[in-house]
Amino acid sequence: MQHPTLGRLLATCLSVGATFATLHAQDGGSLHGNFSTDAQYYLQDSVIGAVMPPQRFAANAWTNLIYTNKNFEAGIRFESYEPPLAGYPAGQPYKGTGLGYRYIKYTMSDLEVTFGNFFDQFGQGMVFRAYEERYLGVDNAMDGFRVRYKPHRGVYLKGVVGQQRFGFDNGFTKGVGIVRGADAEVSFNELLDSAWTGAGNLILGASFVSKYQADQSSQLVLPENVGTWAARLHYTSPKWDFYTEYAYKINDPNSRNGFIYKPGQAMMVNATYSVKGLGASVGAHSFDNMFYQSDRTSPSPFDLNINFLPPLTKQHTYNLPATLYPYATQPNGEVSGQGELFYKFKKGSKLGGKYGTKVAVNYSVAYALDTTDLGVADDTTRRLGYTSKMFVPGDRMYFSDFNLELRKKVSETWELALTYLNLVYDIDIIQGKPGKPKVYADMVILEGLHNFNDKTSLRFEVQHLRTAQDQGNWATALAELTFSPHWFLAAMDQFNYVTMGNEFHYYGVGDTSPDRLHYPIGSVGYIRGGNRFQMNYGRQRAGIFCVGGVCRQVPASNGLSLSITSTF
Amino acid sequence: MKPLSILVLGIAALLAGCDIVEDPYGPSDNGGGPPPVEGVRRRILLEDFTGHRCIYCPEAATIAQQLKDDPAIGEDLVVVGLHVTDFFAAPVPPLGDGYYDNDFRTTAGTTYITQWPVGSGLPKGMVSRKPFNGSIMLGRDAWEAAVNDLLGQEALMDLWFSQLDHNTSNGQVNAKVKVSVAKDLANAEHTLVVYLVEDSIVGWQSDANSTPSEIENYVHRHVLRGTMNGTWGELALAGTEAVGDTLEFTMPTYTLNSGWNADHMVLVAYLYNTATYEVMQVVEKHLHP
Repeated sequence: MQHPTLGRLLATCLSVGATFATLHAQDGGSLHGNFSTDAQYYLQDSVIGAVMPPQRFAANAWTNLIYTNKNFEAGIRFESYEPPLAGYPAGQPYKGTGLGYRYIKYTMSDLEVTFGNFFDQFGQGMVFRAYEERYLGVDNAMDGFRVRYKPHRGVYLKGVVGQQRFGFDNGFTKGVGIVRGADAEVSFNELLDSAWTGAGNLILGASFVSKYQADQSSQLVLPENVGTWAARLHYTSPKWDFYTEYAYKINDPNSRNGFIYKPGQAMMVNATYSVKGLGASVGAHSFDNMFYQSDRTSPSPFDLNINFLPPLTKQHTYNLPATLYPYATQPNGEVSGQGELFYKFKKGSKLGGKYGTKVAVNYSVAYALDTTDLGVADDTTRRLGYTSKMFVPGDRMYFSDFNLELRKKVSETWELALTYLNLVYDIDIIQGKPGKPKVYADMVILEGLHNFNDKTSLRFEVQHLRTAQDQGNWATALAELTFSPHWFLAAMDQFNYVTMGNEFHYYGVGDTSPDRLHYPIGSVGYIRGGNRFQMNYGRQRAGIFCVGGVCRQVPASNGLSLSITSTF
Repeated sequence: MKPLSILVLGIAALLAGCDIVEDPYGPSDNGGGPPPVEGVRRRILLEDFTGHRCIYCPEAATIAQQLKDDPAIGEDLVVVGLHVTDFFAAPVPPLGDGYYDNDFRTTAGTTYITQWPVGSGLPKGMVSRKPFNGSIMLGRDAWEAAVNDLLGQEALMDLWFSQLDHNTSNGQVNAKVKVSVAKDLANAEHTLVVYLVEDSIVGWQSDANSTPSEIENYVHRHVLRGTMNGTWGELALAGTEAVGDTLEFTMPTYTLNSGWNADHMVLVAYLYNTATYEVMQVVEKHLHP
């Protein structure tokens, strides 16, 4: 959807801004921005079921331009998907080239006003979070206005009104619903100043959000205004960090929950203790019927989300655990918990050796919520769907992850890290693969870093995953050679050496032996000034890409890809 | 403004943002029914690419049937089985011995897999020919999620068989299809195709989950037999039609093969976006109600 009037206004602002930046930079005006692109040329590869877009070549590209001058700021972002990379984005399709984001903002004393697009969140986002996760293809930016006001020291007020970004068709398009919200936060340390004698700080906050969508149903009376509220408490001290938030949503029948009228609830509690060389944290979450989208018939779970439910599992960065079996938050119902312990054995101690030894243990688990179905009579009367209690888990375990990491510098030039993971993964629920058996996997990962000299270093990873389910075993080897400050080279191979996928077995004339598939890929990168170039060639395994408990599937592909990022 | 006034205004604002519904069906409740959709409901076409020598295809057929039998999906899903590839779907010589003699391959099915390759093998399927996670041709494990993604959407148009006649003496079938525009088509052209499908044909099938793995009396469901108006159909909507416009299309007369069971014949009509091939609406009707 185009916005010619605002677009012209902004263009004018930017051209004025550019003139200022060029001619009057000494007056404080400045123009800065960035550019990034991810492009790929796809090759046929039927062995891995690689996608092959008809255009052969796909490219995503973005550029931001931001002008600031004293209390004034304006920005735009152009986006291009000609066509988008295969599997991108997670939700509503993106296509074409145009404006993806534009805003103006000014600050006057304690008041800040933003007009156009903006991202923001209340608390941890359980009732409102407008955010962009570019590589996931999630962008639910608001388009409207936001006011932030600080009426008193330590008191922060926020109000937002607008519609959400939906898809992209030569410019961003908007969803049908309207989102309104307000948030208040009090920081007692700041408010009471010298009267506050505690070592830490206490922050209390409360939010209210309501969405509007017309009821045009001939069969049900649908709530046109659906409200949610949340309250939160955050206590921090030099050693402790305690955060808790509770959210409640009134009846919100939608296509994600089967058009039931049950209210939704969410609660999270996290506590962290840390001193030098020791850290510990525990947390628990309970989510029940908490999909909250500004279109009740939103086409996918990725589109038009008003809220965000934070995950409570470790976000792995190693290739195999990060892309094969990552956990995705289940907003319709989940009870989860996590505990983590970090300890550093001191230098010179028996276990610490010459350089010290770091140990981290982490365990997280997620269950379905225990629910009782209300049955047919309810379907034809109040449509409340089921009953449940917070923090009461059901029988079905969705996920568990036990992992242990040892990290040690063994000499002046060598550092090693050894990680063990044990995963239980309900692939049916998490990846939506009905009937697939639960995956039980063990992983061992060895990472090493060797500095040849100040400029040249080698990092390697050797990973192994063993499972009798899903696709069977995987082995991965990765080596990255860095020549500072400009060049790096990397090579990786992923080897699926016991393929359990039965489709492969029958392809070819009666071949029933297990496939042994390699996914080699090589990369070269060059960094200079504000520019970074990276080129990859090889196979990309089908997998899952997750950020913050939100995951999209990445299809298998083969080809040459290029990434460029640039800032100025 | 006094604090009390602010409080009152605040509470008023909160109440304005919440519509609590005690009676979802309203005063004239007649109860039950599927989840509501504003406007016309979009139905979904699952094209199951299969073959009688494909050992995992029965598993896929079961998934398709489970989706079809799911009360939450039910009539919103139309399933068609397209037998494709020489490797999986050709008859096994010598012909005449009854052992894998069936040839369910069609010109349409063979053409479609050149447009949408089935990749590493069968079974595969397309859900309204809409890309799901970047692919149009999907493994069976993705069907349910892809169907659920489309479920409950509002359709651009509705279509139905306004006339369906079968002359049992000469086997001729005559059909008319009406299309009603429900939403702005945004200048997108749409093409109409009508399939002839025969349900429940008994014949040989390989099945990895069966012992022995060769089943003599396997029931093949929803088998595509042919198309009434060609593999790619005929242009039906130019995209400039107004909401509420209704158009009628007369299909060329089709003569059924005498070996087909007319009592099991089903006609499937669908409209796809001519540019993207995405199936935007579909309907099925038994030849003999």
